[in-house]
Amino acid sequence: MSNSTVSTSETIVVQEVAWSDSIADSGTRLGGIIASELSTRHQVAVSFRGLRGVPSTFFNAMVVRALQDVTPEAIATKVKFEFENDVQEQVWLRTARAYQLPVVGRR
Amino acid sequence: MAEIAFEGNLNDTPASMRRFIKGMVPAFEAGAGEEVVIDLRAVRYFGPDVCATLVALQRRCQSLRIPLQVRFPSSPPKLRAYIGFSGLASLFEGTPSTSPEHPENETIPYEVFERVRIQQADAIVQLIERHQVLRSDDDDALRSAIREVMQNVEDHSKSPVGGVFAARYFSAQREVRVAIVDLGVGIPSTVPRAGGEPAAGAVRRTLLQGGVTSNTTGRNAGQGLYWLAAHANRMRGEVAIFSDDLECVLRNKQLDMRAVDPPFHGTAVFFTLALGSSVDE
Repeated sequence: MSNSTVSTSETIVVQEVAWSDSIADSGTRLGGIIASELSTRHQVAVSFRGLRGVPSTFFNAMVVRALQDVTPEAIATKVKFEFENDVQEQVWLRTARAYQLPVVGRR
Repeated sequence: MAEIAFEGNLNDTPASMRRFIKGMVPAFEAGAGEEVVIDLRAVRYFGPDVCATLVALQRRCQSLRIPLQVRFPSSPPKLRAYIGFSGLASLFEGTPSTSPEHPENETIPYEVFERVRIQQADAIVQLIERHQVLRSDDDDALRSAIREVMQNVEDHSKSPVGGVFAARYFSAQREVRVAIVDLGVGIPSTVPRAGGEPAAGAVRRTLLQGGVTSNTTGRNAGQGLYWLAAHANRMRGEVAIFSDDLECVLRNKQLDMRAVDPPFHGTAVFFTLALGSSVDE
């Protein structure tokens, strides 16, 4: 996913077209990028716009990796998620709940 | 020798697949050196459910050096076309693959997978879009449902043949039918149970509530089957799961479960989604 994640100012845009790893690996890599960005920024925005059918595994892997370096509270207060649609946001919210994150994404 | 014959329609329905899976068990239990013959010459219809199951059997037989013969019918023409487009003719009859680019084709060739990639559901979406405009939420749900099931195969099944995916779109009904089959550890064996809870109870909770997981990989949250069920409920779909000695059928938000004998040594997930029919919860 190295070619598919572009940091523009404070927004990480995740684009489907350039993904080449497995879904789980892609989520893990994004989680690492979020953690890395949070080490230098106060706020990070992650946009899932343009992505279709993101499965729970992607969000799970992202959270598990991010939590290795940042706290659940940091994800809750410093990361703003932008979703493609309600279904995608619902998948994220169930993952967030499963990992007991005090976080609610907003489109 | 295990010789198994079927006749009539092997529809993509739980009842038909119950008959088919049960009949196929001796083929899946055949040992090295035992020849297996599947005779489908008297069959008049089958779709992705049978396709994925046959490919899984072929991979098992190939890995165990078990001679396998599948005899397909010579008619009707629609079934022959499906055998060509699905890739079965190429696999079992050695005939050249039929290009899925044919304008009237509603089938994508079967795929074997080990790991789930984000592009994996693209082919069926592209095929559907050649026939109708696919709504954004339907597109999302279809891709998500496919990937959730595939991810379960990758994460939990330890299937020696990987997973097999097959799908077909029916333009007249605006319906997509998907089959994903593995020959690994079944769901009842992996799902964690609360206390002395029967496996069926744990699987029921998995499908209807989510959050039940063996966490095989350390990043599982027990959401995969929940989302499959949720998408099927929203899109007036139907899900049939055959796994070990358990059969689950979800239809009209009603989940029916029953024990099956003999057990199927793996997991077959068959589901149907009606496009353009999504309903809000």
